[in-house]
Amino acid sequence: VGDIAIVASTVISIAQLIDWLRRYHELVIKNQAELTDLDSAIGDADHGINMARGMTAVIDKLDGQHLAHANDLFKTVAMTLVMSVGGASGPLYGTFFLRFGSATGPAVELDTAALMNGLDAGLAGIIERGKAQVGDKTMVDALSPALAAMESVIKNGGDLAAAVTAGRDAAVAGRDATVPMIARKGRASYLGERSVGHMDPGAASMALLFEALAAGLTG
Amino acid sequence: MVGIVVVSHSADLAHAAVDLALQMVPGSAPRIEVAAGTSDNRLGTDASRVAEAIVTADDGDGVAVIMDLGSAVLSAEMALELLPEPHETRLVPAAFAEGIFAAVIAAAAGADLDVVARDATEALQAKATQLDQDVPQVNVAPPPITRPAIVAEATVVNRAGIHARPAALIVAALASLEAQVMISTERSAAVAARSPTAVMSLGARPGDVLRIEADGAGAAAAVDRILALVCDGSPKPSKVRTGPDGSTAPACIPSESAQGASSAPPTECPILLSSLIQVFEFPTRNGQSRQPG
Repeated sequence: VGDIAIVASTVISIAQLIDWLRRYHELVIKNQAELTDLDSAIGDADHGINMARGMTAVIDKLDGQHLAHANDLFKTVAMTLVMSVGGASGPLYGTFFLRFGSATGPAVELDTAALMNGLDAGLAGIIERGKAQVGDKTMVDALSPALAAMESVIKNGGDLAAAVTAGRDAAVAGRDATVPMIARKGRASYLGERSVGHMDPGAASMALLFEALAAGLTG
Repeated sequence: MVGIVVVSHSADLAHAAVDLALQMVPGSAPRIEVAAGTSDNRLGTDASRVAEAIVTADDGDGVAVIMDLGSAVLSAEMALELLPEPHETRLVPAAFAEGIFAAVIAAAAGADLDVVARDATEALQAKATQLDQDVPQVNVAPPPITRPAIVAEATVVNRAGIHARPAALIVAALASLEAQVMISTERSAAVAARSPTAVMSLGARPGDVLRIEADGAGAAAAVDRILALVCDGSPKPSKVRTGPDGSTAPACIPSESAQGASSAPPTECPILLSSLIQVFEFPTRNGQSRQPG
């Protein structure tokens, strides 16, 4: 992490995608206790542990092989998460990365459009899998506004760095906006009104994914 | 035979639920695969293991997947995306224990995937009925037989009535036949005889008269097979058939043990029915009379 110089790049290499995943792993480990605390308030108190285990397994897996194509990379990430996480974030993040890889195909680098295609496919996969919409107090509440913000920056001529920065800020804002929401999906939905006042742990871990992306691509 | 895949956070929970269901299967059991817990023995589910289980459980007749909750459902859905080749798979929105119970019984009885899935989904009904409460109905009732080729009636004599195991025997008896068969009692509307859960839902008790209606190819054989499940395994009682012209005759000569059974059926008796009352046969649509048996 940090040893790959990215200055005003317009494309993302496989090495940068792997760097993104490494940064995400580090952020998940750093925030593991907080994620689990959030989940203990409205869930089954394992989101931090599960994501830390899953991303550690992903990094172990990536360390052991050379993956040259985006679809192979993201399929490996997806299957490793599915096999190691255990909780609902396994199939949800698993579907996100699986669809991401399907959308990119065997690319060796992603331009802005390909990145957005992958992220959009990932969002569609999570929505299809979890049947959650914006406002249901889930990871969709961080992911969906992040993609909308990136799209908006790109449409207005902004570069990749500006896009991922806007994506990170929107993801964090979306995460924070889950606090007053009533959970309508996942275990927290069993709590109904009692879920109000707590941040959604899935939205929190999703915001970390965009923090990692922005950190890697903006230096 | 339809295969069953059980997806649970807990391997202990899954295996115990399967054991409970297998108590009801006297003969050969369906393929049952458990995809439960994580590879390091924590609570959790793994979509890749669910996909492997579906592949293993499918012998060509399809697979019913019963899940506990939360990530089990998500993992089962994702598993469909991970299958190396298509398998006819039904993710069944059933209560876990009841669903496994009903699915295993139905599959063991030779029911097809539609029936297995429906039985599992509706399996909560028995509990709700016992508690005098309702569960949302997802049942799509089979079309009634408007003009059955054969109608037979028989009295239930075994002490426990038509509970799960006799119901499964009835369904199993029909497995290789194509006939449409409905069973009703004076208290309960007709249900499909191919569904163990539906047959159980009749709540038939000793003394109740089962009305068996059959139509289509093999209708006569279907009725005969059900009637052959007469108490105590003795040779089938002779049947004197009564036509629609109204002429009546003693329908059968119950065996001695069957006669005695109505008050005290032998506990080892595997059967359901005795005291066959009447078998009517009606002309088929092309005018030929069908002979039961």
